[in-house]
Parts: sequence; C-alpha cells; structure tokens
Amino acid sequence: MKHKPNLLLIEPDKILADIYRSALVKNQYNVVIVSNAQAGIYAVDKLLPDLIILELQLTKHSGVEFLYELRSYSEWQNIPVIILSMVNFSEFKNSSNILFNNLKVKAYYHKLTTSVSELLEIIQNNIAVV
Amino acid sequence: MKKGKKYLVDSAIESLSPRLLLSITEQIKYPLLQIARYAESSEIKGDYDPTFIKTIAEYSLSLIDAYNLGITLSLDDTQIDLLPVSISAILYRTAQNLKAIAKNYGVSLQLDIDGRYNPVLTHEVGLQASLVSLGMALIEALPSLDNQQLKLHLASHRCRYGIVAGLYVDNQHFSSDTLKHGRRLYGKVKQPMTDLNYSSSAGIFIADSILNALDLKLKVSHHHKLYGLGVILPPTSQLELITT
Repeated sequence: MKHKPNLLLIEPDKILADIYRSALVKNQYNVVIVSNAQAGIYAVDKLLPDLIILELQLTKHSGVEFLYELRSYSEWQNIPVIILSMVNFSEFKNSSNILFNNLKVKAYYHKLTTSVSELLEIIQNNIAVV
Repeated sequence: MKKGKKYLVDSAIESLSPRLLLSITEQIKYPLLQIARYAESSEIKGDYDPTFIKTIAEYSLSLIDAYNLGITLSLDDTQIDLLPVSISAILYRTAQNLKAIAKNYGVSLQLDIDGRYNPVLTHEVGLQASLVSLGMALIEALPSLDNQQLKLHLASHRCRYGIVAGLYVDNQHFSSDTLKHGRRLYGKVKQPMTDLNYSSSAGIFIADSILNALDLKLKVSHHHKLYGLGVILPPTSQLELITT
C-alpha cells in the first residue's frame, strides 16, 4: 500500500486553512493543520511530517520563531519547510541568507500569488526530493 | 482651545490618517484571498457554495463601510444626531450582523445582557458599526489563539461610569498594553496586536475611529471571567424623563 505523505500546515486563518485542507486531502495527503507556532512544535513532535508549509505571520510567536525552535532539535534538522506567507519575500531580501542557509527553508512563496494548484505542484516537488 | 476640545480634534485627524487606510488594505487582503482560493478550489472539487462567497464579500463591504462612517463622523462639519438607544437592542442586532461570518470561522455567539438598562444617548448607527467591526476582528482572531472554546460573548454590564457594551472571549491576551501598543503601531506594521491576531486587526482600529468621533472610548474590559473590549456609555440626565 502506498504511503500517504504527512503534511503539517501552519496557517492562522481558519477559512484559508479549511480551503487548503480540502484540496490537500483530495490529493491523497495526510494533513494536520495548526494555527500557531506553539501548536506547530507539538504537531512536529507527534507527526514527524514529510513537509511543513509555514505562514510567517502568526498570532503570538512568529513563523521565524517557529523555525528557530524547529532547527534547535537535532532530529528535526532535515524536515523540509516551505514558506507560504502573506509577507512578500522582498521584505526578507536582506535576511534571505538566514532563512535559506541557517533555518534551511527550501522555498518561499507569496500567498497572494500562489494558487491552490501551484501549491499542490510545489508540495509534490518538495516531497519527491526528500 | 480647551484640552478636551483639542483631544477631539486630534482624534478626528488621527482617524483620517492614511495609517487606518493602510491597516484596512492589509486586512482586506484576507477576504479577497479567501474568495480567490475558494473559487479555485471549488472549481476543482465542483462543490461551489455561493453563500460562503456572499458572506465573505459582505464582511469586506461592511468593514469598508464602517471605515467610511468613521471618516464621515470625524469631519469637523458633520452634524452627529444623538438619539436614545437601547444597549440590548444594539447588541442583539450586532449579533445578527455577525452571525454569518462567525459561522464561517466556526465561532459561536452568545448574548449576555445582565439586567435592564436605561437607554443611552448616542449615535445608533455609529455605535453598532463599531461593535460589528470589533466583532469581526475578534471572530477572525479567535481560532488562531489557544482557546478551548470558540465563543464570542456580546455583553453589557454596569460600571462606575455608566453602561459597558462589549465583546468578550475566554482568553487572557487582552491587556491595556496590547491595545496601547496596537494604537501606536497600526498602519505602520502588518501585525500591530501580535498577541491577539495574525492580521492587521483593522476592525479594532475602525471601531476606535468611530467611537473617537462620537467622543466615546474603546477600552479593555472584563465581564465576569471573560476578557474583551468594550465601550462605556455614560448615563444622561436628558433621558430621565423617558425612563420614569
């Protein structure tokens, strides 16, 4: 039986989370959705996801804080993370080195310009190379 | 110019500032994005629900409308008609207005009106628009907090200065500092109230601008063991005849 990849989506907006969930489930993924960074860390521990899709603009702790916490554990160093954020990448231009090298983010996508079908393609590509 | 009068004029100018507009443009990205992604997703799945889109669009429109009202009321030459208003009726209508968007976010609403109150003299449309804007911001924020219960209480109670009408949740992230920082930062940062919301919380600042124009204040408030934001409506001797 084919293994269904485990995805962890950290998305604070409930309506967007529901929309993404239905598209991902339809495409044969096991999806866990959490709305904040703290719940994200608990979910990583429980699920050990094949891929994390992360929003940076979260309530309380930011997505960057989540990344620092995630990468502080040796066993979670290689979990692939892609950012899908309301924050445009241009705002991170000066610190892209930290995101991609130190925090090992695989890719950064702006949520406003990334359609659901593009997201599915991105996920497929990033899971395939794990 | 007296200090009080100067404060009112400053508040009006503040309401008209581009900062509020920036806050709204950040906020309005969410419903537009929800509509865009929902349209695409439902096309793939073939389960389009027009009510869902209608609710989100109406939510955006009422936010813009409340912003316009805040600006109109803040203009120096605007005549503001104050009328006797029932707090209970205002809260009931606010709940009705929030019902559909609350359903989309999985939040339940509870009306919690303690006792009977005299009517207050205020601008009915303004007060209701500010409570609806506030409610929208809190409904959106609730699922992203660590709350067990996704419930928004629309409540009123008496306080030393009059009657408080407010919106409350079972969460301790409301503090005067949170609101104070938010007021300083809105329009300048994407998330002026990081402890409370992932978005720009524009609804809170729109409510603030409307209430400022009406010489009312939005304050952090407690209702039983709940935390929230409320507006104090002072009693007026002009209405004593009506109630006796």
